[in-house]
Amino acid sequence: MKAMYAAFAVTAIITVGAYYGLNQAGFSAEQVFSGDAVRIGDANE
Amino acid sequence: MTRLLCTLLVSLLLVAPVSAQEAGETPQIDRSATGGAPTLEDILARQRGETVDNSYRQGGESDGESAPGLGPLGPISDAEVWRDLRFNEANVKVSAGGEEAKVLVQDGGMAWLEFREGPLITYGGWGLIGTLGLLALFYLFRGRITIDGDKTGRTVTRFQFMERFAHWLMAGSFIVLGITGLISLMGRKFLIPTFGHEAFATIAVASKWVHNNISWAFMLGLILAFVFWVVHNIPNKTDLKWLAVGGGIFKKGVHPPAKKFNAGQKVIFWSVILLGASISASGLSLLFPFELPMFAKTFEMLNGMGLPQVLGFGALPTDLAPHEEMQLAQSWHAIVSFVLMAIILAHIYIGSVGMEGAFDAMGSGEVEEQWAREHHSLWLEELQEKDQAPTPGKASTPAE
Repeated sequence: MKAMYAAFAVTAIITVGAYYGLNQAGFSAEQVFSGDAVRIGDANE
Repeated sequence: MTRLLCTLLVSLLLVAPVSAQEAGETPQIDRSATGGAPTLEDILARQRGETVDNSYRQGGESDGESAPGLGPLGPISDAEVWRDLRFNEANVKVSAGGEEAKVLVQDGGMAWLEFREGPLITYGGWGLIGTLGLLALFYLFRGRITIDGDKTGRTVTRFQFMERFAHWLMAGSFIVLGITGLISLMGRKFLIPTFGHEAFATIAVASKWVHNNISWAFMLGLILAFVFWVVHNIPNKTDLKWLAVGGGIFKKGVHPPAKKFNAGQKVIFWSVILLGASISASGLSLLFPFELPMFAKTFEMLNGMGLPQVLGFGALPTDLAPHEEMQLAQSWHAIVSFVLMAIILAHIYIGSVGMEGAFDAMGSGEVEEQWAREHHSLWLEELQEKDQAPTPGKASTPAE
């Protein structure tokens, strides 16, 4: 059962990592839909 | 032939969501009395929810130059401006966003909403309930498939650590994706009446966050499983023998020969790989909105092959608004997911309560030798030839 538990742990890590990773890489909805003339949330401040 | 059938199926499945947005031919209406403008019949038909042929109204003349003294619109009437906006022909300028931001009116969204809240939820939901019902019936009539022969007490390594890791990476994330996906699709209809709007808002936001981010684990698991097992899942003649007796799952004491994966498992494998890849592709399209449109190109390809025309759907639309691409991606994502969820329910059943000894293959990785003999006899023989499994009558350790 170690493989199963390890996979579940890695799944959780990937899930959280994907969120922070994509946000860091500029893929948050705020950043993607902001522009020079439009500021959404904290993006482009 | 197989390829043709697959293409046919793909074409049929692709057409399904579109058919919700497309409708039959509309009869020609004499509009001379209104000078070409919508007639009372047009308006009534629209109010009845019927598909109205708007082609005669498109291509307005709102590009006229501004004329002094005629106000900000110049020679253009309000009706023309709104008509151009209505048919995506207006010259819209936006400060942020791409082409999608220039679409101010997209009436295909209504058909999509109706499809999603109607047939998609109804058929998808009943499909899953029906699958569970069939599995329950199967269990009632067949019971648990037990190991027929005497257990040896010896075990054989069926799956290595990394194989099981890949399986659980994919399986765990898929179950969560399935639950959160159903919450996203059906929550509005089924959870709000029970939990209320505020509680559902929290559930929906959490569900969306988990669904979006856990998807990467599923895609990684899918790739790993493909790499590990594709060699063992290439169809061969043994599969025909297995299929001819229904894999022996309907009758006690029937054990057709099979290698590491039997025909049934191969069906599961290719379903997971192909449908999983398709769900991943449409999922990526949804994860990065408007960045990865897929359907216009797919429809173009299918039109080129002539399949939709042969099936009587006519040429599929290839000039899709960015939002239509997203709507089709969502519809396709959900349809294929429902199919895969039904298949996986059957897989979970046979891998747990449905068959004695099956869970060990993915649990500890060690299976009872007699189980291996009954369900994967050729694979066991291969292992025995390689001395990777105990051979009956042969001492596993030299006598001292």
